[in-house]
Amino acid sequence: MSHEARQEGSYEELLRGMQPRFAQVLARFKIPPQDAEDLLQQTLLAFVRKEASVRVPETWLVGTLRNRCLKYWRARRRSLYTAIDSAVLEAVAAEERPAQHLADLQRDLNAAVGRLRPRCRSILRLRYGLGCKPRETARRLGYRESSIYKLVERCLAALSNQLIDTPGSRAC
Amino acid sequence: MRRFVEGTLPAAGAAEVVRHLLSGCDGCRRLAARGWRPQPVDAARLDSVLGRVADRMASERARVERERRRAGILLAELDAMPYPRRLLMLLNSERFSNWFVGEILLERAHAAVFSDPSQAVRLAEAGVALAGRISRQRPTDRLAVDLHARAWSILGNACRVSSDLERARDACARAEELIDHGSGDPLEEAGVLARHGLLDHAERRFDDAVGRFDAALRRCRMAGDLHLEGRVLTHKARSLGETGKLSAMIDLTQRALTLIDPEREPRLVLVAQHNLTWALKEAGRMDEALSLLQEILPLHARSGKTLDLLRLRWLEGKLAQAQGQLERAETAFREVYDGFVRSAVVFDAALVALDLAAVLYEQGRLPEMKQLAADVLPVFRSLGIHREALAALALFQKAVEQERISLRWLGALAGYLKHARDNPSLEFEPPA
Repeated sequence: MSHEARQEGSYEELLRGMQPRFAQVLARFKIPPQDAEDLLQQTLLAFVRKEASVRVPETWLVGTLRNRCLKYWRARRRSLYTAIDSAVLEAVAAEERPAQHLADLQRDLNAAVGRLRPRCRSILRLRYGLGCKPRETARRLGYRESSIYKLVERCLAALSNQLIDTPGSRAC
Repeated sequence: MRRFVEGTLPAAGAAEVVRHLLSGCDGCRRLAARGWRPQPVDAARLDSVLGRVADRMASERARVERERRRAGILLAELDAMPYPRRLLMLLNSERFSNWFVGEILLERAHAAVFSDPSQAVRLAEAGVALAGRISRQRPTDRLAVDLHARAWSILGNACRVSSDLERARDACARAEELIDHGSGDPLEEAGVLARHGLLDHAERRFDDAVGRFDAALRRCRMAGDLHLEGRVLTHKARSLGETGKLSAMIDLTQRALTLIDPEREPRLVLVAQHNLTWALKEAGRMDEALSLLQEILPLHARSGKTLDLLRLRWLEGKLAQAQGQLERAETAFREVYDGFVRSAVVFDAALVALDLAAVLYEQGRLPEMKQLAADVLPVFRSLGIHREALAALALFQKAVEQERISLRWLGALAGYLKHARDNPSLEFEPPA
């Protein structure tokens, strides 16, 4: 249905026809119900503003919702990786902890990192063992600065997978 | 554990959870994993959500229409202002915080990019100022982020066409960073990626360009916009052609031509057909190139754009040259050279002068070549060609004068001029 044609009608008709496809996308991406409502609402309100430039509303709506779902999981995964990374950094740097506590933590961390592929082992050992920032890590291991942030993120994803199975994360 | 998985647990608590998970507690590991496997959406619940949203969409549409009407009045007011005052108003005046004013400014910038690149830069700067302001006012509005990203991207594109590559790079990077936090509109993302790809192409990072065009293509398909897909395919084909992948360039351009909507963007059809003819010629498929040329000549003649016609005549000359019809080639190159000089299209004029020089060289007409080399230098100086390119043309004149010129030398200079067009700091290194 074109933009002009819809000016006469309502959005209800369009949405009614789209319901099964929305449900399919949200189910496929396993979006939690409360977040699914937000994603759907934001997508539909964006459509109202951009309607004039959209050629095929049905495809655009499904495509945009799908893209939002991808971004949703990417953001959630990133926030988990960041939480795990900060937590590990904080735990290994906590000076007030008893020596035994730190030794246990180091052992567990080494075991988790040791199960990763060699590239991630090197990157995370520099990060948690020597406190190297990504730039320094890139220099020491001979990676390009432009690609090191992506590599660190992949290694954090792999470490997170050692702790929790997260959907859609890449093996490293 | 739920708050940890959602990333909302304070740092100290999160550190304790990680510490515990590292110790290998299987129970907690399973508990955490459950947070990533939510139940699918219930159909009845989705129905009621859609009902509620339909009402909101109707009221949003009324609000959007009011904002759109107001934009017309505001733009008339802005158009009457001198540029510095316009920019000041967009940056500071609450009254002008209108999404559609930003959108129209950016449409104008996009439309002016080839006809008047410096005006396009100014319009895009105004768009960036306004979109930045709207974005700051509505920090959670992803549509405002989209507009802001588009503004930076269009500014980057205008800077690229104006040969300000450093600024173009910054602007495109900023756009790409922003669009990641936008509404998820695949068309908006495709636009940002494609414009960045064009910058990669201009900077001769063809692999990066192809990567970005591929990402843009995925988004065009996601949105079901076949015409845009055709446009991006044309860009990708050109980048592949630059790396010598001529048959891929031919295939992709042919596919692009089936997708492009001539009514929506008639010139794009001509550009794609022109590129295809060039690629066929370069691939040695002369019969196909000549037959396509005959097919597109009347279409170009109808389009009536002087520069497009000149470029097509140039291609005719190149085809004649490749067939050994040097006299025909020379006539075409002389016409095109004069046309580009009259239109002050300086780099293309220089390139066609080199084609003409090659034709003269092939016929052993050295005195005429010397005359040509002596004639073109003052022309390019008066047209304001940049310093490094002028230095390269001076070297050309000297090499012709000293009879050290060769087809290889001419080819190297032509290659240099193609790159230097977008990169004024590039220096020419003559072949040994």
